[in-house]
Amino acid sequence: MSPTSPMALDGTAAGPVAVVHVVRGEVDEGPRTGHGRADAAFTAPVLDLDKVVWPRTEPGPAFDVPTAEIVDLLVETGEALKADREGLLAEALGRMVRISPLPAEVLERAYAVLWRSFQRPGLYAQIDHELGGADVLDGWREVRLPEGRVAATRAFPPRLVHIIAGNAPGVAAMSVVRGALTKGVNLLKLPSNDLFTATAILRTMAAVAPGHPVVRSFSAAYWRGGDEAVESVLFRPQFFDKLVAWGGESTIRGALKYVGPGFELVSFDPKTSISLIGREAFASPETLARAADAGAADATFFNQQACVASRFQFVEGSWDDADRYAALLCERLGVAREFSSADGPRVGAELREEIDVLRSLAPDYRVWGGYDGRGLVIRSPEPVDFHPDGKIVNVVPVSALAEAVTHAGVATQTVGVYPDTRKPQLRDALACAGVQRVVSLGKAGGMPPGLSHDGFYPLQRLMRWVNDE
Amino acid sequence: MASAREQIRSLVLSGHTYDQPAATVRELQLEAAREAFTAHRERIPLLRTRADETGIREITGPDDLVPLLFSHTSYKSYPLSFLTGGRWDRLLRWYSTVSVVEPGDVDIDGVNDIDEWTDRVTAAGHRPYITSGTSGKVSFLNCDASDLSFLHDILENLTCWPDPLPPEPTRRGYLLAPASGPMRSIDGYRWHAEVFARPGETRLLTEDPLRVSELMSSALLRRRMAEGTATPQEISSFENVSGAREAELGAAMDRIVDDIAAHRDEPMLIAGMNNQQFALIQELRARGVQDGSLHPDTLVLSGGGNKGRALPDDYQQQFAAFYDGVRRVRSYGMTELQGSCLACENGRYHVPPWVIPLILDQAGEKLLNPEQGVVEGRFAFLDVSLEGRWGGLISGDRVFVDFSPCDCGRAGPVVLPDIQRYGDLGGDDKITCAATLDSYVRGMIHG
Repeated sequence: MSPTSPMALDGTAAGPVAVVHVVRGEVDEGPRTGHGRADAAFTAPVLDLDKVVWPRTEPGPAFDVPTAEIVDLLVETGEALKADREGLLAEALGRMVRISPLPAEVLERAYAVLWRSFQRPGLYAQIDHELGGADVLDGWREVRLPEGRVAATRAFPPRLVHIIAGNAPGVAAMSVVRGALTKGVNLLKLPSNDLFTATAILRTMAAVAPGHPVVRSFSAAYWRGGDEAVESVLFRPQFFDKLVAWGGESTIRGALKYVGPGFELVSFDPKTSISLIGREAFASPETLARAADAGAADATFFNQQACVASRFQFVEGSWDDADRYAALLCERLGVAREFSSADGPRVGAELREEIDVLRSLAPDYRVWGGYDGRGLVIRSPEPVDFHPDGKIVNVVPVSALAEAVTHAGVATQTVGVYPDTRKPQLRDALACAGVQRVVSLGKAGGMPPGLSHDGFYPLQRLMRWVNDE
Repeated sequence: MASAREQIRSLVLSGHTYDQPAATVRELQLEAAREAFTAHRERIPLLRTRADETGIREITGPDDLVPLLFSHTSYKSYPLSFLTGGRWDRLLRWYSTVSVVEPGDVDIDGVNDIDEWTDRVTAAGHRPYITSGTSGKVSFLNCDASDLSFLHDILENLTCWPDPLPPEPTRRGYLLAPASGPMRSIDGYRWHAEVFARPGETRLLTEDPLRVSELMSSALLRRRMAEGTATPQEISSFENVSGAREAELGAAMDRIVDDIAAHRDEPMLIAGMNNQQFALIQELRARGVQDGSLHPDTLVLSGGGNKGRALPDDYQQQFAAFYDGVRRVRSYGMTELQGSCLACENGRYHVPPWVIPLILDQAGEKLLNPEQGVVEGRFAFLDVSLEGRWGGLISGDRVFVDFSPCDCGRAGPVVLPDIQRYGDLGGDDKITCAATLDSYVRGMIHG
């Protein structure tokens, strides 16, 4: 591939998009090389493996920085992201729009609220709820043991390589926040569906506090996932303690061969989500409208590109009840929300064929909506065999919500329930099936900081816990 | 006057199937496409739906065909629960939406399993050819009686084209396949044996028929695993059954290898999918059978590509070396296509006149067919000969097609030998936290 022209470098002209690398806090200005398929070509600096890691022979730059100072830096970074005076987010957004499957308006709104992950109460919620306070980050916490023994423990800064997901920009923000709070060193591998958000955040942080130890604790770079020339070298305990992977089945399976003593996998597993709608929804036209709107909100989060987005919705009632719900749901799928657009991508050819066939199997199957991306609902006697995607929901009538629990499993992350009062009687059974998160219907999007994620406390899991006994 | 489709079909008997002037073929094809569309739109609900949806009312040129193409998905779009729940009537109803079969044509009274179901469809004068994919779900591609006789005509007239083999039963036959079953390759091998092998002298890999339910069992187990209801014992027995079956077939293969080694000086028919052929060649070499040492009248049939790249990259070269000097059918084809694209003297695959090639962009949306020259893209086509189903299909193959006249002197278009599956060309490295259930099942069982 030919080197990119200066015109293409600024991302305003047609031609390969230029991807920025951050190397230990600084923008890599080195020579560039081509990546990606012909229709989605981009350039990135040639990766210098020596520069993206931190030698284990010395502590990471931020190992001794007090937590309070890191929190201040993050809060300031959040303010800077909100203001975006340097135009770094705007630049990243401009480039994202060209390659992301998400519509510009959804990306814009997502970028506009990236700063929310950097708010002080949320940061302390993670520190306090996941680690029990900053003391254990900043020093040794005394632990009283049986038989009068006393020991001390510390959450020691780790060396992390993150394989981040690109389906929602918030993932990059969350990874930077968690990485910073650990005080450790962090290499972020950029996914081809979000090559820009992480570096825009890191550059914003660098502008807030040039040369700050936390800034110098981050690198972010692209290499092709599974590239042995890179991964077999970097994924070693000599450089990193943990691989923090967000989804990407092939990436995780590829990385598994490097996992071994001293190099651990922390996996935010790829997930799918569902909803359970109790018969209470049919009490009145108002309750039905409320449930359908909440169900639509959960299904359309990031236009259904996110793991929390509901794809199967089980309705407690008759087929007619399910049809009434489905019709309303379909209408509400076409409504723009904070993290979704009224229009979505057109339904792909393969799904269209699956659905066309089901249309001809009426009345067992019924379909509302078209393939224009505004939303489509399939009502079927049992869950469809394919994966509903792109604002498509499969509504399945059940005689009791308990029956729907059998459709939750190890791959199920979030279950939205309507009404709230039904949650207590379902949550144990759902947890038993493998579910990680039960929410009020309509609240699937936006996990609050400080709670567990995918079945564990991330910050706690990222730290290296060291004892003085 | 015969319809355009009949005229095109009759080319197979003409002795000049591939020697027609390009312009004449193109004109005839377009008329045949109109006839096929008109006829199938009436009988195949899925095509009707598609035509209504896309607003295509008539075929004025190849562009109009693109929105009407099906993908492989259509032919396996039945809910698995129809099988697990024994809803054979529903399955038939589904089948009637993707084929010309009418529910009333088939008696499914008392059907107990998917094999009986396919038998009943066959008894009604149709043949549901199956193909299996990585998901384990089987596709059903319908052929009617006239499609089968057309296939038979092709093999009698065009086997080993451009130097067709006389249809004489003079060979000792070896079919590396089950005795029977609704798979096009199995029927094809059997028919070749009837035409080219001595009666009663054909050896099979197994006397058992191919069972669709066995092919489906991995899909059904996957489903139970996804539901969380499969037990460790069930998974283990599945793997053991596969292992036992492989051992059994291995023993049968040994007997065939010995027999071929003993009769290497006689003309033979050796038919099998690429993976069986590859295993056979290794075994024969190990028994001391030299490359290029088989009788020159030996006929070799192979096919099936290199799914999942299970074979070494040079397997074709190895076939060519071992079978040097014998008669081989070299072709590019798939179950979805009636009669393959056959290799000319220059090794380029000529698209038969009943197939309109439609080279699309990778997304499968835009037609790229040039007037002349080579184009790279996704192989799609309309097979106008098909009566049992709509012949328009988008494949998963990345091909280079030359629309200029071929160096062999015949008109194009030809598919060039560098053929790959898009799936094998690598993904796009997009990472998302959203997943399908497959992530949690895959890798735990074979296939």
